[in-house]
This record gives sequence, C-alpha cells and structure tokens, in this order.
Amino acid sequence: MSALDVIVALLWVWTLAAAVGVVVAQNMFHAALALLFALLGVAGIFLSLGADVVAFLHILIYVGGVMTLLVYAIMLIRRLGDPYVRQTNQGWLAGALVALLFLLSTLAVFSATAWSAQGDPRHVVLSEQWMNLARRFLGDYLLAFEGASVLLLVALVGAVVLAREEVEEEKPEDVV
Amino acid sequence: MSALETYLAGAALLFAIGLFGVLTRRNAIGILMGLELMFNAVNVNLVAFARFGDPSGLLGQIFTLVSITVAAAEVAVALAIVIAIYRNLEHLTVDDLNLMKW
Repeated sequence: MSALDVIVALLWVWTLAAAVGVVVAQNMFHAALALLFALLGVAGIFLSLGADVVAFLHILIYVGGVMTLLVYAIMLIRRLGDPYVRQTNQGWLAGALVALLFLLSTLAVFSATAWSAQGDPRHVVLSEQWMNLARRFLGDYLLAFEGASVLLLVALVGAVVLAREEVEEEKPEDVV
Repeated sequence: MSALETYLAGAALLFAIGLFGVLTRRNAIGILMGLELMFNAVNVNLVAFARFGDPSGLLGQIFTLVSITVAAAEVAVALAIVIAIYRNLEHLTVDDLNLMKW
C-alpha cells in the first residue's frame, strides 16, 4: 500500500463522512457546511486521479458558485436556518432501504464486470491538460461546448425571471 | 480490489448517501444538496473511468466538465424556483407542494 493509496483512502473517508453530515444534519447551515467539505473532498479525489483541471473548475464552480447560492437561499428562507424545525420526513427507514438496495445492486454489478485497465497512468502536466481540453472543446466537442454556453445563458435569464419580485403594473384608474 | 474499483465503490456509496438525503429531506434545499452529492458521485465515476479505462484519458474529463456546467445551471434555476415558491407559499415542505396537482 503506497502513500498515495493511504491519501486516497483518507480522502474517501473525509468525503463520505461529510456527505453523511449533509443528509443527517438537523440545522441546514450545518448541512451546507458539510456539503462544502464534501465538495472539497471530491476535488481532492479528482486531484488523486490526475484530473487537475477538473478539480480546479470543480472548486471554482461548486465551492465558489453553487455553495454561495445555497447559503444565500438558506439565509433568505427563515425557517431553514431555524434548528428547531424538523428537516427530515418520516420515511427514513424506506429511504435507507432504497439507498442500501441501490448500493448493493451497484456493487454487485461492477464487481461482476471484468474491467479492462487500458488507461494511461502517466501524469500529464497542468498546462498540457489545459491545452488538450481546450483543443478538444473547440474541436471535436464544439457542439457540447456551445450547448453548455447556451444552457448557461438560458439558465441565468430564467433564474432572474423566476426569482424576480412581481412588479405591480400601474393601471389607469378610470378603467373600472 | 483494483484502484478503479476503489473509486467505483466510493462513488456508489456517495451516490447512495445522496439518494438517502433526497428521499428523506423535507425541504427543497435539503433535497437539492442530496442531488449535488449524487452529481458528484457520477462525476467521480466519469473521471475514474477516464483515468483507468480510456487511453486518451480526456473524454471522461470533458463529460465531467459539461456535467459540472449543467449542474451549476440546474442549481441556479432550482434556487430561483425555491425562492419563488417560498415567496408565494411561505414554506418549502415538499410534501405540501401539491399546488399543481389536479
């Protein structure tokens, strides 16, 4: 067992413990904090897989963007910050059962599969990773790139429209 | 247990925890957080396959980047909907959100 294996195992323990915190925390602020730690752990897992670019963008978008939005939403909604309001429903047993069933079936499927390891374990330097990804995104995968751009634009406009305060239209008074 | 299977097992566990959160949370924000965990589990799987199964090692990362982008868009729209719901109904308990049921 090399040092990297130990680090990867520790990262998984960290991430999974934080994930459990996300789903069981009574206070939604604590859940958001646990989600932050889980996301950082996932970024570490990406780094351990040699995907530095993905790890950076993951931190940038999830920790920088998504977490900010989530914390803002929790602060705006009064009852979510209240630790005395129950935040879980009655079906935790059924939920645990479904999740366990999913976990067992997934483990059964992939332990029965013979994976062919043909990957390239050589670590690529960061600048080269950026170059490779950028070439792919502006070459073979241009459609996905442009699609994501359009989706982001639509989502931004949609979010603004949805969250906007209703503006009372000024009606002329003599209509009645 | 090979290195790939370590990552797959961890990601399956992460996905199951997220699924549990989605099924048991009462408010929409908690469900959204569980959903984020599930997204992350899938992304870890994609990068692990790119690392151990794909000779070029890039296709899975491209998938992951697109999926992170889509997840960000999803969160933006979902939180806008959450805030709109809260403004109109003064609560976020998804069991009681049956306004659009006929």
